[in-house]
Amino acid sequence: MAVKRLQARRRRFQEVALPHLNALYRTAWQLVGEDAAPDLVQESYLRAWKYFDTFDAGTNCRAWLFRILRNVWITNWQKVRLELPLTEVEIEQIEPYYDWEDEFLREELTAEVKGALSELPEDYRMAILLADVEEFSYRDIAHIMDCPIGTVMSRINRGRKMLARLLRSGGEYPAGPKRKFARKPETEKS
Amino acid sequence: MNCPEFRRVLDLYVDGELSPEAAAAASVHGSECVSCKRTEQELRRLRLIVKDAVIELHPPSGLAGKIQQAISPSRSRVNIAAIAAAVLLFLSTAAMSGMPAVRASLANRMEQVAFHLDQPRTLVLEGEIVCRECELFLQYGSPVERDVKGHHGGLKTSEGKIWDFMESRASEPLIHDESLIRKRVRVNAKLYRRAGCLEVISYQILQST
Repeated sequence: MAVKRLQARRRRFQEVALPHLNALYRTAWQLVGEDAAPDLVQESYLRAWKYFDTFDAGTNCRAWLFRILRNVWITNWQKVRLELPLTEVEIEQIEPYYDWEDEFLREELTAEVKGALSELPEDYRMAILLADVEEFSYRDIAHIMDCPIGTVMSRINRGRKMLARLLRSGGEYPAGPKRKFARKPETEKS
Repeated sequence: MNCPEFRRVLDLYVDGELSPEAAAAASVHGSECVSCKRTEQELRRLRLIVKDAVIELHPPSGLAGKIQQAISPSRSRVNIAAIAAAVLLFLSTAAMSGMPAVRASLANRMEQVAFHLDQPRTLVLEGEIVCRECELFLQYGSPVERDVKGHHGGLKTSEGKIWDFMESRASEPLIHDESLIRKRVRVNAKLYRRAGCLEVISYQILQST
């Protein structure tokens, strides 16, 4: 009986959770790099499997998995936080809204975009990936990142502005917002 | 909707987060203002470029199989685990009841089996922070010379084992902060059984006792 239940659980997990492997992997790749991404994804899936009974079948499995991925990532990331200063960018001035009007976005920017993404603070990077690549709603992103929707909006907006500046400047961080090392990443307010 | 209003809601607009009425107003403004329209188009292109750059990443071919395997333990792995558990149970029972000479021998074998099975791995342990030297004094009457270096924190788990912490910035309070003595903690650490040592990744104070 128990074996049948386990088999049914495993079958359901394979049907609803494993199809999101690609999405989790590409986000993990952007968060921890190519070498560590498989481990992060595998550990996330193992944790999802462990707590699969708590997953509400009526809810968004992809968002649930991304939330787990973020939690596992934070656990790993905290390990290095004690050893390495975190890069956090503090926007010290209120900026205007999007201010580009020239067409700076060329084609064939894949490598530059990946490089520029890696320059963003982790929370901004993740918010942008969840919005632009995975096309989650702000509400889902808030759930995944465990923060208010206002914070999601702020992270997406600031992240995109920084990304645009990085792409415009060819990867060199331009003058303007001051860059500052900080221990805690949660400096922006919603 | 005017230009500042349009640009204030631009992220929400391109991300489809505006109400239908607000989206319609933004659309009207975009059709009337060349500058704002261009900004909107650039933002949409930025989103697309990000997506194109990231979407092409695919997991290594063996990853799905590894995950499948991890959630579907094979018969052989189950059997090895069951056999190992049975051997350990037998050895521990024998060790408790055997003659002293045999007990030492069996204890060594138990350790060998444990070492063989154990790989340093990350896990979560709960226990109580105790002073290693004071515990040795309490349990065995060993001499304590705390005036040399003060208390030295270790993690006492429910089976009575005291784990050492590897010295690091993460473990420093657990070892040297005397106010943590007798506190219950949950430690996320890599366990080195052979050395009886924990490499602390993070920890959480649970409660005072």
